[in-house]
Amino acid sequence: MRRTQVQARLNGADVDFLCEPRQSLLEILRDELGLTGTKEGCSNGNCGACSVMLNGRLVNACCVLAVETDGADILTIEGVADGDQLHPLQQAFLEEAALQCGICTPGFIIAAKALLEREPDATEERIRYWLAGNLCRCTGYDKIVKAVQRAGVQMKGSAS
Amino acid sequence: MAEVWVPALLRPLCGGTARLQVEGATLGDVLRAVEARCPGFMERVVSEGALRPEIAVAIDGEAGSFPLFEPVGPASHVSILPAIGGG
Amino acid sequence: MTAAEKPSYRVIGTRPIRPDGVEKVTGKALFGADARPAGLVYGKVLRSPHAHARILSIDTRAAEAFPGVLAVATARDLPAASDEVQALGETAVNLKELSDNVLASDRVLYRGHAVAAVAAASVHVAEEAARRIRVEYEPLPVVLDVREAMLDDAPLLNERLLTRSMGKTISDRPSNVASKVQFVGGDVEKAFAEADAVVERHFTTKMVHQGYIEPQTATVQWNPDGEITVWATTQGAFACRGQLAEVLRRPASTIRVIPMEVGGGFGGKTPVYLEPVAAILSRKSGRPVMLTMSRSEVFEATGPTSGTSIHVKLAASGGRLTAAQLDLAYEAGAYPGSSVSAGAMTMLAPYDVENFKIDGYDVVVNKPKTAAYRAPGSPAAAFALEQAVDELARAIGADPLAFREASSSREGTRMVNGMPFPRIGHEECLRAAMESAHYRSPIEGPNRGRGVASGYWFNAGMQSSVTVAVNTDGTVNLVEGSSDLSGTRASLAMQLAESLGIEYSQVRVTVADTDSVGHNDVSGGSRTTFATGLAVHQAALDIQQQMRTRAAKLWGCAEDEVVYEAGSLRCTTDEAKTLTFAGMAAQSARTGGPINGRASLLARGAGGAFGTHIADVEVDPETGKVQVLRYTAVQDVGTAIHPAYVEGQIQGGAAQGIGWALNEEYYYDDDGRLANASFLDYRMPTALDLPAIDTVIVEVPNPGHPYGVRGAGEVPIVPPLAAIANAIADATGHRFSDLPISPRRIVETLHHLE
Ligand code: FES
Ligand code: FES
Repeated sequence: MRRTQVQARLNGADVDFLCEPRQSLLEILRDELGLTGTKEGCSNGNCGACSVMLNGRLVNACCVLAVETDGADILTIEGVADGDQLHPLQQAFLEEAALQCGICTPGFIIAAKALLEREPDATEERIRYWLAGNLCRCTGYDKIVKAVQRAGVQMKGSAS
Repeated sequence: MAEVWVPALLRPLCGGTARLQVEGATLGDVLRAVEARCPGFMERVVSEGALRPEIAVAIDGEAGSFPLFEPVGPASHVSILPAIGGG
Repeated sequence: MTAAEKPSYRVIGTRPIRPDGVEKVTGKALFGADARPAGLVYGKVLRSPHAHARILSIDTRAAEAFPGVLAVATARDLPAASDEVQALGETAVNLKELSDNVLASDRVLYRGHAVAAVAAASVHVAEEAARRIRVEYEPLPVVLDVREAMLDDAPLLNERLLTRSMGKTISDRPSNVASKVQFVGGDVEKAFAEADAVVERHFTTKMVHQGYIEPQTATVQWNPDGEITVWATTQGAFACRGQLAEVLRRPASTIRVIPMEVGGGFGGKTPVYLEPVAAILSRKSGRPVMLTMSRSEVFEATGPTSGTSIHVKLAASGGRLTAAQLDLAYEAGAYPGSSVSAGAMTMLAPYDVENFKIDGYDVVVNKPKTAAYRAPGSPAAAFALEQAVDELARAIGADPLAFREASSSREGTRMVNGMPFPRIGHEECLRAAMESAHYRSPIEGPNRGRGVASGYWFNAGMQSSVTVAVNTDGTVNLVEGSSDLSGTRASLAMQLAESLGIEYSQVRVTVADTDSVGHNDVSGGSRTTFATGLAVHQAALDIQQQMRTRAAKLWGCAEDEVVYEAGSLRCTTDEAKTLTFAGMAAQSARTGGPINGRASLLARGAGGAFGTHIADVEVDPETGKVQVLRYTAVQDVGTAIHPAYVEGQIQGGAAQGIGWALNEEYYYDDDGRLANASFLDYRMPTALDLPAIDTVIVEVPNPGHPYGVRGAGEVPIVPPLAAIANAIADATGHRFSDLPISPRRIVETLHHLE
């Protein structure tokens, strides 16, 4: 099958890759670019394990065709920490024990980051509503919600 | 004497009794002592020198597929039960 | 327990960050599908569109000729198991079933049953090629319902299957009932005749799935010399290796299973499905092959837990439970082996009931072979029993928790299998529930109700092996083999630090592959923190002993004059002689070489545990929507090693139970097609569907563990089904005896639609 060349920004660096029209961004990230931090739970937009930021918008990478990302700015879990400095969300997930198996964690961190950057004061209800597109089967969500709240407080503190 | 709890489905072999008091220093001895009083019991529980895969035994509250040489205390309680199958 | 009774620990009971945490929040942790051996290619499995059919022929020529295809596999590529079956006896029958479930040989028994597989450079090519495989089927009649399957004229899944019971065949003709269990005690007839109140009701539950977010995936490399490497997402690398060795008829030592991080299991990542198929494809193609299931394959073709049909009759007399007559039929799926015996043995565990008769049936139906799911067998049994208990309490005008307390099991109470309980904590859970702020608060408002329920799980021991290497700088490496699905690296490292008297930060933990550590049974049965924890403690004692021997030599004193205490050695006869753990470690080379602690054990002393849950709900009679307003889970865990992960286990189990109660089910059409094989249609709870789940940790230490651990993971899924159903009954005045209590069922029932 004919492959198309795509150029994009990925976690702050330029990348280019070849892809088939039927390949999803998720497949390219994981299988071509070696960024396996973005996870696959369903491949049809129902679990949020593949959450990434695309031009500042939260999307499911399994539902985006890779060819559509030409010229786009993509952020994956691998780009969330600043060097060896964890993002407040990452730190909060560790401290609140907000992961058990951890397969959903990258998706939740990306989704929560998208929320907190806009609404650092998000209430519990708002957080639950926003994260309803991400499934976690291990935690019952309680500690995830607490971690997001804790990170929100920290992000506000460091922003002011 | 160890106390043996006979599972419901094997009680017909033991004249309907649910509990038996028998002598035996090992699980094998205990089961053989039950067999002496309830002929046919042994082959339901043991095959080829070991507990059948579908059978488990609990000795003093510890359930498992014990070897026949497992020691049994003089006041031990032994239950015969179905193995906890599958999932 | 009170503070005075509880020993004071340095590390146990604290909440350190888990050793694998940073990898998991940065996306660096490698899960099953993240394995990338050089030359990796991908495969796809072709599955049966029929729920029951004979396979007449399989023609793979078109797939083999498809450009880019590297290999095609069918059951013919697996070592034959079919013809010698009866001659080889029981294990061979199981082997054939295991093998047939991996790739069907002559018959498909459920829709989604694997029939063939293709490997190619890309998964898309493999998928296109798989569609070109021609399979000729002769469809057979389908049986899906457990009670229908038990009828004499039901279509048979296996004409050779006879009913077994306690070591004997009890049916004289083929049947879908694979086995029967029975427990009898006291005089049931008499107790019912003399009862103050009797309740009788029939309950059903549907198959439900564990719902782990990571689909099954397997990557296998089969070298020309016969050495096989497997990158697996499994609850037990050794169980995976064992099953693979049996299906492929290869020596276990030639197979190395590398345990990748596991994205959830809950019991479901114990059987092998893809590994043998990937192995065959690798052998034929000469390349490492990865097979990954789609979400619908996970639903259709891995092991959910049984749908059940349970009849309950209970009696109360003198304010307590006095008699129970129970009949349980569990769907095993395509091959025998449901969790009915566990269901039958756990069902009455919370109560001391003198008179009982329990019958349990393991029944095959045209659905996927069931696998373990968190406290397998117990939640459905508790759903039935705890609703009937609730009804009985109401019938005699008792508070539901007080009635449970009056009837509760305690140390010495015999289970239905005759086993007397050791020290257990059901009464403590009931009291903690009664004293909770939740239970003391009023529940008011229209369409609102409160329900409670208890549940029990055995918890398991089984086999564990660990080694602990002491480094000369005083740090240690713990090498273990228990898949970490929930933070067990932390709970094991903490126990090691406690036992050695060193800091948690001095311990590094590795979950090793099958070549690098002794045998470990699966991470399941809530056993890891208990049993592997026991092994860790023994390995620490081994190290202490080695250090004492060496210190005695260094100091020229007798070994029994050297004590190891709080991370230091000292001589009882000469105060000047002391050495820290690190100080001794630094001298290893001069005092006899490396210090390694080891333990391999078959863990005994597992402590069963109870939980009691309280649920408040509001039911919208127009839409049928049930909102869980407040939820509290009380549980005896023995000792909580890392309380945050214990709370997480309890919350996660409760969440799964709430989903099971309200929405989740395998919805089949008459032909045996699963109509909701996606996350969208299966509807597991989201963050928005659940309230905050409050936890109350009760600690009644297990006498069988040095730190009192019981196990935490399974109990919390047992009570929620009934707790929610009881709350709905309280809110609506209607008792729902069939799961799930979905909006549709509620509307239909309350408005008499049907
Ligand atoms: S994998 Fe993309 S939403 Fe599930
Ligand atoms: S931690 Fe396992 S799915 Fe969320």
